[in-house]
Amino acid sequence: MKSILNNEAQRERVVVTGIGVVSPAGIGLEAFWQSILEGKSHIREHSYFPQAATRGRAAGFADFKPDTNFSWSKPAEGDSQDRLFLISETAINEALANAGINGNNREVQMANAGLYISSAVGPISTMETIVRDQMRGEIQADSAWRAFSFGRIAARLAAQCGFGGPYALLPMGCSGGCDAVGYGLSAIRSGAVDLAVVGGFEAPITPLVEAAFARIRATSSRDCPAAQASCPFDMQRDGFVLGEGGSALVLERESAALARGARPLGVVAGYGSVCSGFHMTDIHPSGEAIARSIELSLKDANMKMEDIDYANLHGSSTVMNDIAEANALRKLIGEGLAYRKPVTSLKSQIGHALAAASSIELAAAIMTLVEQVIPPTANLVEQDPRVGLDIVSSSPRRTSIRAVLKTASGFGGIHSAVVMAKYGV
Amino acid sequence: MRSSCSVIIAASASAVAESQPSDANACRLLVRTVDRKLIEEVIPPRLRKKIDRFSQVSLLAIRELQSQFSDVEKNRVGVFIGNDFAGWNYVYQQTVQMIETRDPMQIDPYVATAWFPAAAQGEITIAHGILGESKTFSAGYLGGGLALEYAARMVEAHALDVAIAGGVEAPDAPVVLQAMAIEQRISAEHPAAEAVGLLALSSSEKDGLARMTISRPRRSAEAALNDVAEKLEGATKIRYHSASVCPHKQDWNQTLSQTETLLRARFGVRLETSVPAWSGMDVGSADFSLSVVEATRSAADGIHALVLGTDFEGLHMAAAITPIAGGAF
Repeated sequence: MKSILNNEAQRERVVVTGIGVVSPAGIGLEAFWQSILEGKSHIREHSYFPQAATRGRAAGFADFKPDTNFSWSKPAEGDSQDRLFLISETAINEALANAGINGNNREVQMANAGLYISSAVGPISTMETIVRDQMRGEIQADSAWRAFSFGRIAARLAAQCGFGGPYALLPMGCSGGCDAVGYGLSAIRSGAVDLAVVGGFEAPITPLVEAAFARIRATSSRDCPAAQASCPFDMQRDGFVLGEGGSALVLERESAALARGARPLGVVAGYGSVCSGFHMTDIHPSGEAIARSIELSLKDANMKMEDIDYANLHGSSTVMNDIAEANALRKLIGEGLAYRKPVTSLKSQIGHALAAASSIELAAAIMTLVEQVIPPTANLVEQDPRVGLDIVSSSPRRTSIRAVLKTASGFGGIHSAVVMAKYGV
Repeated sequence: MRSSCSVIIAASASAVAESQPSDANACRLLVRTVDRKLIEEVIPPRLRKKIDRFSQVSLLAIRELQSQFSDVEKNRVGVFIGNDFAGWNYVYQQTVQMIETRDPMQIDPYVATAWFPAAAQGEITIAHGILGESKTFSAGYLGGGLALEYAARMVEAHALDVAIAGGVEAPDAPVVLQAMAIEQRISAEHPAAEAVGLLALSSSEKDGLARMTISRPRRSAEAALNDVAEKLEGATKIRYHSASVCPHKQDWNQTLSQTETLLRARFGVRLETSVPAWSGMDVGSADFSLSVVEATRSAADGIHALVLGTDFEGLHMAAAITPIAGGAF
């Protein structure tokens, strides 16, 4: 049987025509992009356990109203009013408007549109609030209880945002943003849908998530100003900092986009994902699994590593990630050239929003292709010599960029990569 | 393409045993659990302490499929899992303690990897050294269906040689059972159940048990059925495997009876409805894949089978499970 997935000749390009962003660096694509060019940290002091020795000690909050963050005393938000839903809805609606899918035509264009999104921890704030209320005997039989079903996230958002086609929630770990793109890409290529919105969304700053990551020392605990805590590739890094937000991308076939007069912002050239089969949290220092995911994404894009002009890395600010990710890239690029390959980590500015992280980073990567500018990595003072790559820091770099590689790694040993290419090349 | 085809080479379903309702907790009436002895036989105590029950029952089920991929190159094998309620059995009590004391040390170091829905996928790939693309899906009762559909797409495209796919649910935590009870999807007469249904898919007919033609996720039962209907043409008998939902859930029962009316109109006397082995229990994400497991048995006996599933939010899927002998792939 002939496969559409593998047949280059039959395959039409899939382009990005709209982007929506909610992030600690700004709400809305334009605010976000202008902000990240400055290369500043948006992390602030925060803990749900200020007196505890083991705690998360900083976080990146999106300046998102209403204030729907978990509170030890506030009641649960009703169905579809959870912070995760509001963040997702905001980003999805911006992406659709940005793609010119609004007004009277919206319903027609959305009749068969698919919604494919990822979230690692779902409406966790509402879930924790309900656990609290249940344990105190203050149970209200209202719609907030629907939060426990992960699948409802996509179903409710599809209904709220007017998607007439299929929907799916991929509750992946921190590779989720890339995986949603991969799933959407496959859905369009296989003919299941003509238009898809893909994205990763997360509102994970809660006591349970803070405690769980602090207990395995995944999050930064060193004594420093909060804004310096997330410092990927720097000698001082000691763990990631939780962030929140999300990004939505509108994907469609190039011909369909052009036919309706939309402006393609970039090409989704390839996707690759693998398992390490190694450990739930640890990454082998060789970076072998990361390298395999990159190789698959390049093969899918029909490109070679030398075609990649810049890599927007996972760069989580953990020693383990930095070493493995750098080793993977150096192996693929070749030792002699690796130190000249520009790379960055946006987590240095906005922290790590789990499944939403790679989604927000993809939004930045597409803007880099459009504007031909690389936003800098913040907090790089003394680069770890084992990371033999050209880390763009301090100020944005204007250079010619035809293709960007986006890498992501998640708990469960998942490594995913997406290749985005400049439109019109 | 309106559907994906693959060959089912193995199927595995968990045994569901009734638990005793005598431990004074009203919640016990609302859930049935997999026999602990079965799990203790296959998962070492050290690992059991680190993972939630939905990962435990997944590891139990995959043992029956192991021989299907043990000789296959591991980067050509992938795992696709549906799960909707995550691992609250592992985390619930710790969360209560944490909230009561406001002490993060009440959360043990394995919560970060035990709770999230993709945990079962991770544990399976690590336990069996599986290296290929793998994914987890949440879609209520249809999570296993989405997993099977993407898995079938992967093997059909020859991106993988063997794909393990299905759904799993282990909702045995007071807060999850209460959430399900408030929604009236479970009751003492229709309790939740720990359950898993996994299938091994391949593009090769060698040693195949049945063919699976699975629809794209659709917005109506009719559209899903249309994706696979041609695979049932010429069948003298079509065995229909439907979901099992709580009798108190009137709107859901109405959805199911509308679907059955549609099938009667389409297939007439050729249609035979099958009562699932887990009838009277809510198996959540495992529902669709458990139906496919039963349908595989029907097909192995030479009977054409049809599985229809919905998330009751607007998404529908269909799978035609047909005998290997006769008919073009």
